[in-house]
Amino acid sequence: MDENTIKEKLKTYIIKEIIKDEEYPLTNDEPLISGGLIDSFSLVNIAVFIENEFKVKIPDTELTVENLDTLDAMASRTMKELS
Amino acid sequence: MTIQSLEFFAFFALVLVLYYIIPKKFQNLLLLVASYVFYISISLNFALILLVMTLVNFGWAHYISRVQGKSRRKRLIIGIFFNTIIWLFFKLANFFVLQVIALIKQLGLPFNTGSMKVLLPIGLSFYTLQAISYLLDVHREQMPPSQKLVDFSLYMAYFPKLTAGPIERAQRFLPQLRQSRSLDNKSAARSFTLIIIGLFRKIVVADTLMAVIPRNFIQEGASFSLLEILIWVMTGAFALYNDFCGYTNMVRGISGFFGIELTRNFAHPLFARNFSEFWGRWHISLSSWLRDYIYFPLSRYLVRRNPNVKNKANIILPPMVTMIVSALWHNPQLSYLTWGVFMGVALAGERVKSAFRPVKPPSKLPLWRQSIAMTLTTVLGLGIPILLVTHFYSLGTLFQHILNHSPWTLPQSRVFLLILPGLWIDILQYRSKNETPFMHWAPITKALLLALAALGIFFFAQERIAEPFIYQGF
Repeated sequence: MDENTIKEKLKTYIIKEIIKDEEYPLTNDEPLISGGLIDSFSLVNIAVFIENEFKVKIPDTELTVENLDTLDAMASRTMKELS
Repeated sequence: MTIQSLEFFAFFALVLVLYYIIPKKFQNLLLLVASYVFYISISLNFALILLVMTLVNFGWAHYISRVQGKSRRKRLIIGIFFNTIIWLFFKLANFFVLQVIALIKQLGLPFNTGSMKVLLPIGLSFYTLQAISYLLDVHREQMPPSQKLVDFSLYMAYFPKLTAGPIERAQRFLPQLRQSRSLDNKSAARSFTLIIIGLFRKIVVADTLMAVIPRNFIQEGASFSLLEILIWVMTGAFALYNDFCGYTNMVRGISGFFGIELTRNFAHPLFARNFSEFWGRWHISLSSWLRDYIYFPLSRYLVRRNPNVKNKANIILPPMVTMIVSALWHNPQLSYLTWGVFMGVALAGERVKSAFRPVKPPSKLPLWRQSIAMTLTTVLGLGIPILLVTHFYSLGTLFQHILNHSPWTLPQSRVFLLILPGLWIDILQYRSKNETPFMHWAPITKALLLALAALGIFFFAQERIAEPFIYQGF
């Protein structure tokens, strides 16, 4: 699975389940956590989605702004676990 | 010796000189020895307790790492249980000792109760959390157990952070001990600036504000209006913030001179626009510990069981449990427990809103709405907890004030003048997104500011005996 596919799947999930606005123009580099779109609980939902969809676990201590603030960062981190 | 005392700075200066004279391979050992000298100067018994906990946790982490599966988990649970029991014993001991003393006196027994008090070792609550996070990280194979007892001991005992944090993570702290450390002009200037900001916040702002707040202003018969009571409560909140933030600035500055970066503990909490944001900005080392080791594991467990974002247990349980644990960590008393429940309800309430409606980032709200949100969050996030914790048993009297007294009189204006300097520092830091914005100012402005700060610290320090940092009591 490549990074772009991961990004698209994450984007679809976040727009539908977290932001709950299917018209939202989410970009790959938009700061999701530091921008206030995602709170810490939503991060857990995303982490469990990643577990179920991509079969990798991102540890609790790594669910941080530094690792997961943008779609780019989330996809990159997921790829790191996959490899 | 207290961290803001002249004795401490003389001690720090001596350690710093030795640190850069001796061969680098002995620097960690020197810091460890200095840390124990510092702690023994407070209490030999406290130092012995820390030593025992250090040795047990060092060995136990290795013991955990030797096995897998259920045995590994069992050993982890025993390790966490050991640390928790020690902490609980000292936190609760005095409560029970006081009951025993009261009973002895009631029965008229000939018993010397003067020596029965059990003192809570300063820093125990902080280094206990460090030990538990270390065991958990080793168990989860996020890091191997430390091979160097000196390094691990320093992680537990490092004197700048020993008495009131920040609560460091071994994964972040131990690698710094393995690196070669030096001090350049930029780091020295930044560290010095942090120390000055910290001293200013503590001595000029926090201690002075605490001194002007009337004692027992909610007591029976007190003549303060509701507005005055609110202002005194918020004054106490500002004092607490500047006391703790001042402490953290100082210890981070002190540690910076040794080339060791400590975790930032505050990120302008007065500018938080909701409670979730507030807890990402206030006492960050504690809130991130709670997030990583309680909130996230519990949330993950619940979401795996039921991924529906609207599920009630998913929304309510994690913030409630986390805030109750936070409150009890501070103090296992009813007043703190009430604060924990209040904050848990507030956080769960925010989750309910975002679980059912499209999310709108606070930064995209109009400025006036953000300002109102900041004010409300500060009043409710800081003011209410201060009220609950310090005046829990006077709340009935407070409600009588609300019903009986005129709400519109103000306290003396000097309290606003005292709040302004601390607020000004926060505004500068928030707008520049820099803890030390003054470093980029013109040299003459910096010199003038430094002279004013130093004069302020000097004169205000003469006014009263240095108060201990509030968080050393936890």
